[in-house]
Amino acid sequence: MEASISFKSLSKKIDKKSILAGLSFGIEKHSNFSFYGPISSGKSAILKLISGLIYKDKGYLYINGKDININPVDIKFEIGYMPQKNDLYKNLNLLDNIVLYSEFYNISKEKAKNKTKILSEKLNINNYIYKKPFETNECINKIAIFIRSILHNPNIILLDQPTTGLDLYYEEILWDYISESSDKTIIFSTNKLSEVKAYSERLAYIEDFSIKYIGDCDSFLDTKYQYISNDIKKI
Amino acid sequence: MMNNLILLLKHDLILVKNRIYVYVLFFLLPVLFILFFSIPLSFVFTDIKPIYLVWSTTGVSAISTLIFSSVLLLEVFLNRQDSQFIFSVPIKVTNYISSIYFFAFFMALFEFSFSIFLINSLNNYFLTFTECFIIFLLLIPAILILSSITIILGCYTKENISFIIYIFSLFIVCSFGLGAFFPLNIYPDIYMGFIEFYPVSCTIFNIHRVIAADSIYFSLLVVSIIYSIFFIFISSVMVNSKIKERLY
Repeated sequence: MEASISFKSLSKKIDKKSILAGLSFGIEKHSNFSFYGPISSGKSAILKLISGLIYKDKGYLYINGKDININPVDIKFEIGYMPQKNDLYKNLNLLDNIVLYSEFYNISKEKAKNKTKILSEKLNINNYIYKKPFETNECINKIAIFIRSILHNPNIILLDQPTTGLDLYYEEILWDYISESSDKTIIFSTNKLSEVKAYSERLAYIEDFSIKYIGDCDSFLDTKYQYISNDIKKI
Repeated sequence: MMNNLILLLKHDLILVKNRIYVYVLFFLLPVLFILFFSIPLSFVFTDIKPIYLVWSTTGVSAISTLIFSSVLLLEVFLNRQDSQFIFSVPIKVTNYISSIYFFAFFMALFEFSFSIFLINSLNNYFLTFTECFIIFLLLIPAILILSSITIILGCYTKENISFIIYIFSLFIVCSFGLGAFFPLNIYPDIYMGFIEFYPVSCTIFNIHRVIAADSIYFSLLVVSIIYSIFFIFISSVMVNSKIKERLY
């Protein structure tokens, strides 16, 4: 199967400390892939590398066959990134926050507004889009951040701990929507084993900024890491 | 590139527009300067040529422009730094950095136009369009230097108290220490020797010369330009390294 994202001997240093060294693996097109591991293990760092938020130091990163070094701006059109942190502007309402960046993706404001209204109805936050982030709750903001990341219809959707802060109702709505997007490559990070099992075909288990396991979910349950994961789950 | 710069400028203006009420006081700085500096001090500095009310227009236009652009830039830069999403949209880092200066330049132009309108209305339109244009051109290196200092500060601190101290210091130093409202010859010689080649005071000195209908000192202009290039370089390197290392 064709690879959507390929890492080749990729390394990254932060404050002279090597955090991801010699990373080499691939993620298939139109598949759901998860990065699973404890808090601060390096899951978000990998998603940030793919989204272009942080830069690699060594190695190669190919997205849909294109080297991220050669034309990083063009590649960003194909990626939708949902950060873990609520980074919505406090002074703007949710609708303005979502459409603010649409023109960078060559989407007119009108079109972006219409699309936001459709998506917000589908994800059940249509009653809140004229409210500012501090006037709603974390769930609504998180869904708004999700809509912002998919507004330009990207091929690759990167979700950094998408369900952190969501209640069960919105968690279900979000996963239902993601499950419908079979023509997209969905990559998400999580520290919930149940999400990995339910919503990803393959996973990478990360600990201390290094990948300990890559493969399908069923085989993962037979590895020693599964026991560690269960401990994490208990905590 | 230009398209992205305009989009980022629009983005920044939306951020400012939603908090415009906070900045009304800063926008009205020229009025406050005229009321609380120019008019009362015109009774103190009676031997300045031309008259103090005209001499102090340098301070009214230049200092309000510099403070206004720096304060708004600080707000926008901090907002941008908080956003993770802005770094994932398809823009180059060079666009991101140059748009910061682009925004500061437009804010400065906006405030400068207002202050010049006010000054000319109160002083029988004594400044011609060409003189205003020259003054603004002279101000550009100072705008770039203060913008760079603001960016460097924004890169390294997130504490509100630091920003309050910065804005307060900016106000004190620019208003009192650079010869904008108080002639530098009233200060001790040692201070004058220190401030003589400070780029913003070079700019203020040259603007005084334009207002007095004298020719400007090109050497001082060159000093300001060299300083501004140096500061832009330093701040760009810092922003670039911050972007590349923002892990959390």
